[in-house]
Amino acid sequence: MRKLLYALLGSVVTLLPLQPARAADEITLGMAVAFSGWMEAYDGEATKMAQLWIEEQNAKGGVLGKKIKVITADTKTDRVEGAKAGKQLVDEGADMLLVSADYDYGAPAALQAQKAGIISVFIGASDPKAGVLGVGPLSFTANNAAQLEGAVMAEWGYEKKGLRKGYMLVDETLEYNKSACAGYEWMLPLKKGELVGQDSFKSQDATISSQVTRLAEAIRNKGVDHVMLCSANPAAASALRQLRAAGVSIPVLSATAMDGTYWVNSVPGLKDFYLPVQALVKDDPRPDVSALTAAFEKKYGKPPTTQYAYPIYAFLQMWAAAATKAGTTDSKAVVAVLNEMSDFPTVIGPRSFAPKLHVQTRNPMFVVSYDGDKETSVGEWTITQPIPDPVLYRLKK
Amino acid sequence: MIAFLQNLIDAVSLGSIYALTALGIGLLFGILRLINFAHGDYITIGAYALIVPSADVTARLMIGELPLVVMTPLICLIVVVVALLSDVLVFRPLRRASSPTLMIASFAVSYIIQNGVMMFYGARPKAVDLWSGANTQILIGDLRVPMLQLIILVVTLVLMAALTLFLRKTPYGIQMRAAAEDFRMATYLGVRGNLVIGLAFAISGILAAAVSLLYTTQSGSLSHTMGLPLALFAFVAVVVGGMGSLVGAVVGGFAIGIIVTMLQAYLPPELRAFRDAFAFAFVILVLLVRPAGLVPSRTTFERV
Repeated sequence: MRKLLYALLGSVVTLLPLQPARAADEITLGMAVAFSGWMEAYDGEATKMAQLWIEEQNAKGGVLGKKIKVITADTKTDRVEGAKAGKQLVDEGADMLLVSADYDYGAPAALQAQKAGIISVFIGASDPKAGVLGVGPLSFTANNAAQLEGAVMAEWGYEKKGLRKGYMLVDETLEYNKSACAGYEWMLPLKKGELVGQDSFKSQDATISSQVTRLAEAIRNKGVDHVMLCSANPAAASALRQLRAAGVSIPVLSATAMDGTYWVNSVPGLKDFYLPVQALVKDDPRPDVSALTAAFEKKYGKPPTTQYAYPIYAFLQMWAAAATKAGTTDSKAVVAVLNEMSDFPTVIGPRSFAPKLHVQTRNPMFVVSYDGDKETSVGEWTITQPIPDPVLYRLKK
Repeated sequence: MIAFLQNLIDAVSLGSIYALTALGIGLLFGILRLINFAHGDYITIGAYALIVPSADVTARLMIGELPLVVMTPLICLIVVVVALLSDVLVFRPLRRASSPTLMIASFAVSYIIQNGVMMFYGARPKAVDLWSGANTQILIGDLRVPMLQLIILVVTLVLMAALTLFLRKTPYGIQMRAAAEDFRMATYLGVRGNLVIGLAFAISGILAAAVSLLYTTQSGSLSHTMGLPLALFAFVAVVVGGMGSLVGAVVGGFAIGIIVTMLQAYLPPELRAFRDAFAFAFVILVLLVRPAGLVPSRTTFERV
């Protein structure tokens, strides 16, 4: 009797996953992101923002008259688990897959979607490879290329702050940092600015004192008037603390990874520090963005920590418009429409895609300035020339 | 000349933080033959103990806000408790295990502490402003001598001297050295093994807490893996200096700090990314010439 019971139980358990989870009048959105492990800190808010968009959209009647259903799988900040999570959601019938905010961590899941002919989107990767080149023609990233951030800072600094002689300090640990500085290095000479010197460090380095020594010498002898710091926290905040502690008081430009004010305690009396963002968490000049932030705060109890929560909302707006135009959620048809979208008005500004470019490379960005723990916009900037492919894919060094 | 002197100051200051970490690792190795990779995570614990335990993105100081004379012993106490707990829960049951087993166990302890920190504090790095008053410099002409580096150097030398005195002059220190020489013989002669080992863990905890405070003052940021690179370089320092010798650990720490800084300063830009590879090549060279390290310990000599 007991054996029979176990056999019955066993067969029920094994049969469960085979039940078709999908109803014809629903759209299934899969989220193969990190719900645990260190990536959770970066995936979490964009995932919540996506949930918020889905809720709002369902309240408006969904997409193509169908409600959107969410299925999730935890990648556990692990690349192998990422592939499993992607496969699982594809098998459960996802119509689109949202994957982790980093190329390395999101690609395993995105590749599963690509293999199954399903559209995938990185919720915040800034590597142009997170798309056609690295995954396939059905993959997108919601974010802008890191190169754009460096280019915006070089051009804005030259035009608005009169910064002419730059010094690059690159944290070589992440490809993102190198990409951001590649954009800066490309733009600065185009504006007749001069890259006087550069140096590198690693985020594990206990100190950057010898880099500071070399920089201090360049400031003294070669008239360096600003530093481009390409790094991500915690190393970035630590580097900035050490720079300021060593008496380096010239303006420091950086990339979007340092957005937010959660780290400013590291640098007492912070000022003359600038970076580009797509949206401001606090006091964004655009009423729509502020309303979105308020809705996020209402639903989750606190506003997003950084701007990385917003791009996925803009992408989902584009996807819904594309699906509506195509009259279907079939991935290939939707991608064909997305590929033609140019300056589509999203909540955070105009966004474009092209058949070979599934990342933003020329969207306007807000430059923010820090004064202590206050991060305020000092103006919007759009780069004046398109970033060439060798810079975007860092082909030459 | 000024540039070289400046680099030397930078090198010595990096060396002193490695030396302080190496002292803690070297002490445990001397007594227990344990290469404790969790030592870096003791440092992490000490740094996180400064703030209110929460997963909020903005860190608020708690113990870190107390006056120096209260905060320092409190942080030491917390790290000592963690170090003793790791001994009682993990290393004591493995007393008779071989060195490799102990080392693997220390990896496990390290992994557990890191993930524990991530659970309670979240994975996003935290920012704290500890003693920023110490982040000033003394200018001697063009030479920049950071105040904090002087403090680190003095603390390292004082702690090393205190530890040496403790080991040479106090009864517990003598028991500890006896245990380091021949653990079984020492226990036959009445040395209480677990007490001596516990004491060694406690001291390594205090040393780790000192690194926590100094390092956090310098970097201003916390992350759940912050102690890892320190422990790694300190371990290399212990090997270079001579396994089991305290003076060796300190000498090794300074040597590694000087090598890394000088390579960073004088390698051409395109090779700087490979700085650590050059540094470790140098370590191999040192070991080829002096297999027992720069300052070999008499007790480990015959065993290896």
